[in-house]
Amino acid sequence: MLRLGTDTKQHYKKSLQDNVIAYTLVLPTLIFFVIFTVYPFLNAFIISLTKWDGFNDPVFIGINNFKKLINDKDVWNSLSKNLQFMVFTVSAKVILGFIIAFFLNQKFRGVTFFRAIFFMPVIMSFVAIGLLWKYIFNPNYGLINSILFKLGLSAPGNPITWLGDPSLAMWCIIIVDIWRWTGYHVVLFLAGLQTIPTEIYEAATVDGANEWQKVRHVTIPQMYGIILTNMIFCLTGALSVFDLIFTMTLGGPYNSTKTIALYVYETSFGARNQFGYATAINIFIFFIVLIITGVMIYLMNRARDNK
Amino acid sequence: MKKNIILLRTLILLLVMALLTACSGPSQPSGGTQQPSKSEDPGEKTPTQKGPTELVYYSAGKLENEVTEIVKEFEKANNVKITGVCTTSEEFVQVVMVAINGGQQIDVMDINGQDARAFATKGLIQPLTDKVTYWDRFHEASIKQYTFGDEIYGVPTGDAGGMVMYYNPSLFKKYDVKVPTNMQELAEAKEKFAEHGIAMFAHCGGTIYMWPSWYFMLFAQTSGGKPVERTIEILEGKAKFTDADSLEAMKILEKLGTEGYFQPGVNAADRIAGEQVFIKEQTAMTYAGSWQLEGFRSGGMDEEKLDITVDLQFVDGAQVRNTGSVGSHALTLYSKIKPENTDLALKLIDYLSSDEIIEYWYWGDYREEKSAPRALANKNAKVPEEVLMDPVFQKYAEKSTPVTDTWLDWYWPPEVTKAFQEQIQMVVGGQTSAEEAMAYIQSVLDELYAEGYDFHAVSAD
Repeated sequence: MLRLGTDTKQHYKKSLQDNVIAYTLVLPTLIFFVIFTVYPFLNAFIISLTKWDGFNDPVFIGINNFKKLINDKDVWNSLSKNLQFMVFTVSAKVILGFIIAFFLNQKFRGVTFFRAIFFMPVIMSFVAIGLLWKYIFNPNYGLINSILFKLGLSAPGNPITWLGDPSLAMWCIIIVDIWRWTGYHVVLFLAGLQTIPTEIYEAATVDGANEWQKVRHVTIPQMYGIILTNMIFCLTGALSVFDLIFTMTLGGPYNSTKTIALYVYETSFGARNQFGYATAINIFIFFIVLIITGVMIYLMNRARDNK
Repeated sequence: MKKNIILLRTLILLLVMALLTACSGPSQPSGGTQQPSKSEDPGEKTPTQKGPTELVYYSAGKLENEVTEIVKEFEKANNVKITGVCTTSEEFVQVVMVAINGGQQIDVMDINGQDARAFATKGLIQPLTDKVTYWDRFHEASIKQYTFGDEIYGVPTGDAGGMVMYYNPSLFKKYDVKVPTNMQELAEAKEKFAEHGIAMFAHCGGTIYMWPSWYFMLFAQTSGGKPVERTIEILEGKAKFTDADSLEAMKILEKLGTEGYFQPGVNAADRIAGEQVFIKEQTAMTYAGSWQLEGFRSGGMDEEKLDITVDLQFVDGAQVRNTGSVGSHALTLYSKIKPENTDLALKLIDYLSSDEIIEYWYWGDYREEKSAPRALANKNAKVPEEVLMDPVFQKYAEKSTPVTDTWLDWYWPPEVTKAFQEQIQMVVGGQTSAEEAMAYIQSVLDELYAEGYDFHAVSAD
């Protein structure tokens, strides 16, 4: 009994030492997390319950801001723009990113060069990208229309107005976003692809699997985690997209590219300085992202378990 | 165990260092102009007076190096450091908001008329009527722009500027088109230019806040030359944006937009793109700012290719008027300034708005390129002889400035301004009708009335 008691005591002592070290290691991050994430979030929630112009003292109005946003058609219009943006950018970036990563994972001459080329837009400033593409899409002297004129596909007196056309503007931004971020997802997919053990492919080869079957039954299942991570990154990016739109269209023309982040910006810093209301919209968006991400994780896990 | 203790100690040390680093940021507001340290100058006089050691000057539009230059003498004479926080006009409100919420020092703010009214209404700036004695230094029109209720809230500074109709004489000559003076001639000119792939007007419709300037000019004509008076009547609730004169101005814009008077893709063009289509002779005219003259010149538009007209009547028989301001900015005093800073801040306002400093500001030796001559808010500030007078600017000063009305959005509440910007863009783009647009804008104003909006109300602070 005495011997057992000593073992237990030593075990607890060792466990306590491990815990202290673990908590100490986590502590700095935790402190910063609380200061820069938890506190601002709680503070934002408090602001969302007030009427505040950003200058004078806030006035507590309960959940009125949340009631207001439910009936605010501009919120829903903006969210619909996010939805359009999300559906097309998420699918394009994930699918394209995966395909490109798959090919860049092969061994061929110049592979490093191509990896760098695909990643290059990611390191460019969003302002530079916005301005660059704004000029490319310029209806009067932009690169695309110049090419179209030369090919006889468009007349100088009647050019395609791209960012000036409400039915095209969002598509232009979607294309730019895909161009910009695909390289980033390629890198994530590449990292994932390189962790798949070659033995699994060898076993599949022995079992007579062709290349497509290897991709379908080995690569993709092994990449579920990475695919999910990529999708969540794309999704949160799509719901908070601001920079490209701000530099390329400012939400126009006719609000056709006004996403929720831009609407929040306008509500905060634009005409009305409605900080309380803008914060309420942000909290609302936070919960939408939370729910969508939760559903995605659930679905991906279920798909993986079914495998 | 010993290793663990060493690890623990190292971690704690790192944490403490990180916290110390985080807490030891600069005390001056971000974006502040770096001023030379006076105490490092061995020839500097010992401070003899008690008072603030630093004043913070927020500026919308000035550059940091310019502020550094113009406050040098003041700093020396008063043994004070002037920290300039310089930002663009578009970002100014945000920067001030952040500073106020961050508890940062603000003493003097250099702001435009639109922000001045909003800041006065929010109680962010103090009335200066009785605090300033040198009002006779400025043109009366410029003081009027910063008079809200019965009080003057800003000391005018800067120059007079505004919108004017530029045209390209060589294009009109080349295609044998008469420079239009009325709608009939404008329609004919448009048809002739269209045959050569040239649009009538260039405009930066993607820069949405530039659209109302067209409305101001048209409303001046439809309102019988009384746009400001009519605007005040509307904002007082004695008239409406749906009244015939307001609606007619929007209808003209609707006609210009839907009948293709503007360059294709006008609502995608930012300021530079708007300038470029005019410079590249893809349009024959543009309603643009007097400040854009230098851009047109540097783009290669010489005297044969650039002139202005103040004769284009969009309404038959109407007086052609333009829109702009006399004294584009005002120096204002923050309402929550520390009491001990007030006197010196007022002295700084006096200094910055003096004739000598205004002259130095525009044409001082420190400038590599001296700006074109301008009509200043100061009555007695003089343009140096060596500054060449651009003939177009001379014409602008002679013909357009006398018929320039203050920007109407300096009177409108920001909500109405925003509604106008969006609705004009939609009307020009054929997305809504003029009637619907004006009804919507009136509904925005009605909503403000319901919330207690009063045009003449300014903060009691």
